[in-house]
Amino acid sequence: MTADHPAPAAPPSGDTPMRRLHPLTPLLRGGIIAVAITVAAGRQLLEGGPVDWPLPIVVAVVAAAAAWAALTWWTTRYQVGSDTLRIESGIVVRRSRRIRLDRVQAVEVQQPLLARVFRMAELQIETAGDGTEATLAYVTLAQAQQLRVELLARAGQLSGRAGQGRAAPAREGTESQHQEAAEGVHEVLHRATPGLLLVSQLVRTGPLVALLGAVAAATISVVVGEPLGLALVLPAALAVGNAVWSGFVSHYGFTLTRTARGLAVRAGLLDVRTQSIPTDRVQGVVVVEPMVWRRLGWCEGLVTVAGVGSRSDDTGRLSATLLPVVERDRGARIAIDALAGDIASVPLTGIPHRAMVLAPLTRRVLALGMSAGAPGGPGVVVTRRGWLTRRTDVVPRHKVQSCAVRQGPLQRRLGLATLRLHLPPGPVQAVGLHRDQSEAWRTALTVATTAGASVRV
Amino acid sequence: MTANAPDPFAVPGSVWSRVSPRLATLRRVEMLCAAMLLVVLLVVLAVMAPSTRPVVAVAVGALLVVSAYGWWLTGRQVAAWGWVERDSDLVVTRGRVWRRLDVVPYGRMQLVDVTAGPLQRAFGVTTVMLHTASPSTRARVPGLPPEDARRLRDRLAERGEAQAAGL
Repeated sequence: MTADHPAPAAPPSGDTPMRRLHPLTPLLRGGIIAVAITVAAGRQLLEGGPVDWPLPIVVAVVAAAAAWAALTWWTTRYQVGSDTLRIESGIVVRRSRRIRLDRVQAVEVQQPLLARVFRMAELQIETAGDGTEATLAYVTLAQAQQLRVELLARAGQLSGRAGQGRAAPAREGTESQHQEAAEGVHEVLHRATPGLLLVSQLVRTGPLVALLGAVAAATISVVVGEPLGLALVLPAALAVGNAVWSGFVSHYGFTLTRTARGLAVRAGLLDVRTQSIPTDRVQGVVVVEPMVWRRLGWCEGLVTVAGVGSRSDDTGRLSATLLPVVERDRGARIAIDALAGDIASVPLTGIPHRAMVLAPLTRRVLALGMSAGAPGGPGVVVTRRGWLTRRTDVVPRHKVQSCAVRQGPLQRRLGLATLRLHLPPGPVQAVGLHRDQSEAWRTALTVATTAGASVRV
Repeated sequence: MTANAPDPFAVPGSVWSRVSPRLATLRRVEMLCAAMLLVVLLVVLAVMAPSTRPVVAVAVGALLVVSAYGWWLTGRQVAAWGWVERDSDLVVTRGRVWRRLDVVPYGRMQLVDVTAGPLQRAFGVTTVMLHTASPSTRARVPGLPPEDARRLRDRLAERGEAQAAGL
């Protein structure tokens, strides 16, 4: 193990020497412990009692944590090789991790609050397939951006993709100038205004229904004179507040820009998140319109990118957001941009009249359309569904992994079938509910043929 | 579905390759083994506690009826499996009441699994399964004779490489 001595010989061409993370790392990591202790002490004080922990124990815990953090920092090293990223870490159990750069799908620069104060950042590297992820925390912001460009550029060269971001990191200037220089920004496509963001999060279907429910419960309990209903109001209000707040905080200052390689997202009030969305990795786009948003003409855009946001939790949804809230027409234009497809001209057809028994509420919503691959354009499949929250899924035909047609007993009697297009994990789910059976089957076979015939793009 | 009615999901210019009837035998044997085990347990219960005998008698009767239904259903289910190798994709169909058809382009295949457990090997049936980058893809052909399964896998792998499209 040569962890303590950088390779003395000249590294092979393209390899950089082993590097350590920034020396402030233990402080930033340990900062969490300090905050925890302060919070615990503060709670004791608030509850009226004096802080009665024996001082030696507190000192010992803090010292041990500091020593551990320092050791972790000392033993963690990384190296950007010509075709791999190598990370050595571990105090007791040594771990050596090699990430093949041609497998790298996305590199995110994250800035948690404390790190932001010190102009530090952490780098998250996501790879294809099994979704393994490596984190480098912390390095300086400039270093993180430089590393990101470098990793993406090398990943692009190795897998033979064209149109790389120009690696020209500026040494001076503001954060965003750094960012833009590194990304090769062409234009800002969308910036979410805080007011619109806050209102839009409040009138999403979920919070709105909860809020109306709480108001109804309160009204009934006042009218009946039974105070039990009031007990529901506080938890409901808290839940709504939390949902609205987290949506607001994570999307605050959401900026979508076009770069040389595709699109880039920057958002967050406390933790700032930077993410690139290479156009050639976009598998599909979904435009979501919750009940009230539809009346106001707003929509949300989510995107499935290969190897990104496959987790179904909040983090996954967050990194799949293309547009948190936007006017419908603009949203559609930007979605077209992300896909490089032509959505507006795809004629949608509804479901047959006989299918109305199976979908009484959504009979006017359900629709499917397919555009033939125009020369230069790949052709897309568009599906629309949803009663309260309407969603329109758009999938380029050459990105479809496989197609499935399903038919239940009722559908069989009516000569109907449901068509599904399978994509890598993500928010986009193209489903054509209750189509005419022969149309569904023809579509499935046609789409599969296009998908199979397409050359790697 | 009557035998004469045309299949609305026919693949133009091809007929379905059907899976081996030995798959039905295997599934029936598995089902009967489970049923026998339950019967033995019920008989033991009846011997140990004579008061439960009427209940046990009803339960054994019900088990017989369910097994007979299962016997018939298994035959229909196995007969409903089918697959077609087209020029650029594999089509798999399954199910009768709830029908499902999967179309998987060869170029999208990430890997092809060929599996056979000890019991399957004894009956000479093997399962071939296709995986793509989407977890929703469920293209599985069960009940192939081992030799056919191997040949199918090799053909699929070959075509997959020739038409690889990636993500």
